[in-house]
Amino acid sequence: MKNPVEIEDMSKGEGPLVHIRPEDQIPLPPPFDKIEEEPPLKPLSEGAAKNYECLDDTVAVSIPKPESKEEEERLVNLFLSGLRKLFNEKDNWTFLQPLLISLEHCAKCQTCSDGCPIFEESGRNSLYRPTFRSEVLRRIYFKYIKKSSKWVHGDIDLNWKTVSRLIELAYRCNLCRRCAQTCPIGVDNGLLAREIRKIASQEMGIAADELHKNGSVLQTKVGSSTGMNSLVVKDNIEFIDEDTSEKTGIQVETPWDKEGADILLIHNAGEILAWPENPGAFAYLFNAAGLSWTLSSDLAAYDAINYGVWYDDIQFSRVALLHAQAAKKLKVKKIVLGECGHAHKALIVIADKVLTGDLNIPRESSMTVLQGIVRSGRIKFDKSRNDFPVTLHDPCNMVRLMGIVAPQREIIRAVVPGERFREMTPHGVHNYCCGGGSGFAIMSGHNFADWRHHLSGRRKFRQILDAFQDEPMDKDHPKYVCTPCSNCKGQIRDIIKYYDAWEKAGIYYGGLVELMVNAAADTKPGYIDWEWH
Amino acid sequence: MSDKKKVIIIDDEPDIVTFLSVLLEDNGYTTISAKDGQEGMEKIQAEHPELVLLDITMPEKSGVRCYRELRENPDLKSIPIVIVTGVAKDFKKFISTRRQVPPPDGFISKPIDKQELLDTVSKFL
Repeated sequence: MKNPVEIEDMSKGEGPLVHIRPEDQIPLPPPFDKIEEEPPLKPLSEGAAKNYECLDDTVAVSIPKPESKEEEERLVNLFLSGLRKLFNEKDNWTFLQPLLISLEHCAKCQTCSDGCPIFEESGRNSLYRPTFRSEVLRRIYFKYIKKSSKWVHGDIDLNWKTVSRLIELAYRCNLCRRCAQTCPIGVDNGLLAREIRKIASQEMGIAADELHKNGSVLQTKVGSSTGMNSLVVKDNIEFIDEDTSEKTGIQVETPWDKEGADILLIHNAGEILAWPENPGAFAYLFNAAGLSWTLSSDLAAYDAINYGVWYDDIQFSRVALLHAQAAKKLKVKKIVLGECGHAHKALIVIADKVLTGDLNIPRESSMTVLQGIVRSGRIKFDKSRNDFPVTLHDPCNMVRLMGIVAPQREIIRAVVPGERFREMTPHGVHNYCCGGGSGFAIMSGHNFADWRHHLSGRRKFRQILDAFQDEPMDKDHPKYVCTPCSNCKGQIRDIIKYYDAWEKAGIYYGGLVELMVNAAADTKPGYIDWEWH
Repeated sequence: MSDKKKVIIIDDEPDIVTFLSVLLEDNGYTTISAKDGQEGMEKIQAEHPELVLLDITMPEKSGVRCYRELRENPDLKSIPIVIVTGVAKDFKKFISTRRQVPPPDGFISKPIDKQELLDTVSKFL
């Protein structure tokens, strides 16, 4: 095994190309600063290594090994056919222009590598450079699509190893697009990773089960990737309404299918099961502020997730249409997305390519709606109820992609004592991904959860620990990582559990609305449930 | 009269009902089934099974509603309930922490592990 790995290695040999070595990684801040005391990265099982194509220490997609050379050839040809379609406006209506710019131009200055938390936290392993997978794709593009000189653009052997490893490598990127932000000429390596996933899914039928079979397909069939149909969701929300009423001391009822309401609120349905205080808090705040709002029980319209945004344009479109159709049916003035970053990207930004005519219903982030509630003065907040250290995680899709930076900070200033709030470094549009972006937070097959804790989530965990270093790092001093995104919350929950950071450092996490209700002066105190971790 | 213990399987997927019926009957239980929560409640009241295997995502009446009604009914609340569901694993924590109802007696995620199911059923019968 060579270190550093080179582009040419992608086509050669069997098994993993690299291994992560703890001694190459930077220790975390206290109290997790002894790298030898960190839980070791669980090795990939022999069965997984034998049955699936391997790239490194883990397997994300579980690509079966073809049974014959003919099958390998067929798959490689499918990949090439999918790649050709990427350059046809009719077949690639989503991101053709930025794709062309990103493929045609790269100065290989590696500025992006310094911006990539996965590369940095891997101990600067060259396989994880944002440019590595882009360069593999670029060489295939120039050699097989544009048929340009290999002396100008570099050579590559295109075989099944190259293709299968490239697909796996597209799932070693959070699609956080920090690399695109740092690139002096605007090359979007995150987009290239996403488009590799798209070729795999749309042309070859290869996608992570968590995103496709148990994600998009389940959502369009049953109504939610959680497996809940509308009856289950309504019954669960009834439980939540009762709990919220009990906890706040104020009767809370969630409206369903209210025609003509101003707002159709769509939560990530994972919140309902994993963080029921979140939809409960939204219901309290929207009611207390006198907003006209409703949830929808139509298929998929009670679950804002849209995993297609990470891997497949067709799946993406299907879900976006279901969301818009529900809004149209209810004749609402706008759709508001709950605390879910990728749903913001999917429905507010990318869906502009799908929703035309009367389906192009206005869509808004809950961050600005909540900011409006604070500014309206309709709810009185008692900051002293949030008298504990708070830091704020910026979800990439809300912040870097959409520029929603100020609203959540204005809200925090209204509900948390000024001296208790501290920013992470860096933050705002320069934030780091939670490590669960692009679907990772729901992907835990084989030893993938371990991989994301050791690599993709490590930078965020480092930031969280750094933000609280001026506090006693123990359970007796609870600290709150405000995380207004369901997917990010899942990753932060998992990494807190992995490092036992609640017991060892008193680190807890939750959404923004929970923090707001915790400070709502007209409610009974103690909305945040510190034991829910 | 048979001394075999009676289990009701409430699930809208016929394949699951068949699979569970065969598995349980092969292991000495007698089974009845219902295709949704509504029919399940009617059969429980009519036939008084000794254990309920309860799916969650079903038409007409969800497993959540069914669970709540069973737990709130003084005549039925002592029947053990094992939830057998494909709903995301976070549901186990959700339903187990509702103050309105006690936690389920057992919880099995789909796809069903035969041995796990038999071991769970045998704890109550």
